[in-house]
Amino acid sequence: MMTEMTETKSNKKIRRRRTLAAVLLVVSLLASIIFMDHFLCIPATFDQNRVLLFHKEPADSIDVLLIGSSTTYSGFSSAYAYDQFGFTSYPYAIGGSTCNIWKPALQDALRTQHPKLIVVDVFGGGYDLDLVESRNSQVYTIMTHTPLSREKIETAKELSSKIDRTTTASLLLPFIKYHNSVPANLMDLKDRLDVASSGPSPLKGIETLTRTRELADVDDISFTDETAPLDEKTEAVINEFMDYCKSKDLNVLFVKYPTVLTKNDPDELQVNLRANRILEMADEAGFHTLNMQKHFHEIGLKEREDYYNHGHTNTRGQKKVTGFLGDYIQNELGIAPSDLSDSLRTEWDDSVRYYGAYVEMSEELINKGDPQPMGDSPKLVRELKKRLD
Amino acid sequence: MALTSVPFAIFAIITGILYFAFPKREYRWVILLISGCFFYVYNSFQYTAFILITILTIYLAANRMAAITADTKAAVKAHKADWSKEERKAFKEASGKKRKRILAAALILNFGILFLLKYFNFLSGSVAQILGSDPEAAPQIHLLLPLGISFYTFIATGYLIDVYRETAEPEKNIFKFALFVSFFPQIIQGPISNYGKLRDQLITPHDLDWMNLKHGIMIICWGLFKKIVIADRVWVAIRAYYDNGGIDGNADAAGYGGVMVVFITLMYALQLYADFSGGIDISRGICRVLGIELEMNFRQPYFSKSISEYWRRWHITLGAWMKNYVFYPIAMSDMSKKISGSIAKSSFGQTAAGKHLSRVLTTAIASFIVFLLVGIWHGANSKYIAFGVWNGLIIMISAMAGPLYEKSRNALHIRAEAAWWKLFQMLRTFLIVLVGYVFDIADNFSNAMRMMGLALTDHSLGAFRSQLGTLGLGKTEYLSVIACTLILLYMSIRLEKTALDTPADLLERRSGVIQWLALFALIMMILILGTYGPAFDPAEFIYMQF
Repeated sequence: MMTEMTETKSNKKIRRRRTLAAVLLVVSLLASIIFMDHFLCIPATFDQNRVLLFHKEPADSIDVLLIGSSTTYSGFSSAYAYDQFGFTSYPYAIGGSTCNIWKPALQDALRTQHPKLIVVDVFGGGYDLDLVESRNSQVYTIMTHTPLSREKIETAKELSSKIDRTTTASLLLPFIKYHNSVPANLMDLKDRLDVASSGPSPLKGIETLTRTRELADVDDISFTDETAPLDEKTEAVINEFMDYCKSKDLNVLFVKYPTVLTKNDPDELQVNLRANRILEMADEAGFHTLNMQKHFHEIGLKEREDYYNHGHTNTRGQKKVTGFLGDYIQNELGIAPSDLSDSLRTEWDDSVRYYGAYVEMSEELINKGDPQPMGDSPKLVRELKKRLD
Repeated sequence: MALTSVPFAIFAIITGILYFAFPKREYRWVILLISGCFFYVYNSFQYTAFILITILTIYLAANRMAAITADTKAAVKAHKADWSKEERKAFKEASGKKRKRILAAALILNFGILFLLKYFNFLSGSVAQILGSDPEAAPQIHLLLPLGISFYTFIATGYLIDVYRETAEPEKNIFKFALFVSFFPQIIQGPISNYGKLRDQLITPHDLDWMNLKHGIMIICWGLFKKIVIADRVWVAIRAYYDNGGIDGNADAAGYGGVMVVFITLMYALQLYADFSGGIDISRGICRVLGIELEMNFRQPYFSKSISEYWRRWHITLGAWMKNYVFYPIAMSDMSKKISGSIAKSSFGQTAAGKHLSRVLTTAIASFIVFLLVGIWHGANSKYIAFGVWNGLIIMISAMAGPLYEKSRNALHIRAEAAWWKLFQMLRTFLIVLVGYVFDIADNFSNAMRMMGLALTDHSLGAFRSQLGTLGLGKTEYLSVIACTLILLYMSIRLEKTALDTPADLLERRSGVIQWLALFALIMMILILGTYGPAFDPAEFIYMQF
């Protein structure tokens, strides 16, 4: 009897230990996957930081939201716009974005912000979707930071059906797509954790390159209002986006940033002509539109001095474009700055100081002939802080 | 539904839950049968008729043969007093002939199906080519291969021959026999199970056992590690080599030299082993969880010291099948005995070489035929035939030149037990295996010869280094392949030294904490380094195509 009781006790103990080990294994695996999914999957790029840091901005604190591709974040400085016009803004933009990124980006941004104006950069829409379907990493950059919800699942299902080489599961858990990047990404874990644990960034998602254009690209034309037809897929995606904006009753300005067009690059010219067509569509649909290409000389842009390549401005051009666009937003569209709380004002005033240091550093590097990408990152913030201190 | 896919994992888990939860223990095998049927129909719906034909014909043939045997014995017993010895012999011979006819008919039908589906197009094209007409205009059968046809045909015919030889009892219940043929973990890529070893395990009900569960999961994870961490990663490089024209006439355009041929052949050796043995591990792991022990199919084949040993360690169940049902019947046939006898009786047979030849010639010929068939079993292509011929020739020559080889070793005072000698033998065997693999890699025989020529003549390391980047793998990926291959090598050495079966058995000797940590690390490696997700186009298990 005693022996049986001892055996039962011992069996129970073994069973308990086994259950504990199994539970511990499952929990450890899940915790590791969640940690890696959050911090170690998507490459720690400026794009990634920009989206992550957007969500650090206090809720409903952004007056103007800018979405689009690289022309947005290189062409617009939120800090400079705040300094000149007083409204707050943020470039929720991802390099290489095509038009099918606009809707998920806007959906994600609207979770926490209700801006008075949304500025959509049409340039990325000029890329034929059939030709750039492999560009799907942007959508992962957005989805990584969206908390799990029914809407997120719906969005993932929708995107995976429309964007090549994506799956619903991997959009919900980017680890499924990016697990192989984990070992390499371990190298910059500290920066990733810094971004994750920091507050709003004083650089407000800015990014540009410290260079002026090569002299070889001199065959420039400044403006054409010709259009080129969009492929069916792109047209459908843009119409859907416009319908979405209307359904949400959003105040939207479709804008084309000024680029240096060159006759030597017919493909790029086609992208611009298609972007013109998107502006035409937006105009027909009753949205505000602004083709800054038309105002190239009015803005005071210089083809070589203000650009680091044909499509993107350096800090010199950025200030000019921001000035022009900010003025348009304030005076033509009547967007007035919101009253800011003391803490918000301090935060934005701080960003103006940082932008001053950013421009100063950029000028130094341009003059030195040292082309460096300068994007929002903990490392750059630390460097600029040193300058300011 | 590949073995490494999420749907398969869900399917296997549901099968396990239903199996262990089924209240009538004596009917748990029915769950396995239903799962097997579902799996087959799901994966190969349009070809289900072929496996049904195999099940039905082999079942009927086996039972008919057994009935004839029983009737013969009963008749002989009943007529013990009134039949003379000659009458008994004649009656038995007549019965034997009937049984042989049934066996032959069932084998011809089943191998005929296999031949038609797998080899007809190749043979038809080859004949047309020999006759000087356009091979593409030759008659063709436009059907894909039914899932696992090479495996289930061998499994079922092996059973039939065993029943014919009376070493196995015929299965009376057709559903139980159908389970044996269609058992889902082995249908994709084996092992080619023996009826006597598997039947009772399938029918006997098993309960969920902690040790089986733990070991099973470890074996599955080890298989996944080999398949999706190593094999599929290496496959990226091999595929790039294919795509860049490394194996065909465009090789000059690709500019791959001899060092690249050697490198790709090594990668192929790694990929083939990790892929096939990984798949078998997954199957065995699932079976272990269910309480069923599948036969071992690999025992560190690249540690073999001779080609014949390699074939006893590589695809063991195919080797065993060939030995039982092809090698022995040929080696023990009257014809073989006659040949051996006539050599022994000749004047040449009185010399030492003649005596040796009379002993080994017929077995050497039987081996050659076996390996020719092994080559053909792998596929309908001249390269597979060349692969079989290569292996058969080496084994034949080794058997015949055995005494010469021993003499040379003795003359050089080399101890057979010396570690360096064993290592040399392993490397030599591996090299011979690699030459065989070149036939596998190339798209046909002539390109295999061209690749071997390159390997012997072009040794430009500079070109090789600059071309490494064209194989679709980055530095981190090469490093991960190297690290994981070292883990695989370490485990293989440990298994070889301990003569244990799986890494799960090795870990069983360690503390619970170590086991837990090892399993955690293994799963993490699979999750992080595995080739899955939308960024990858997963490679099918190579042996699925056979």
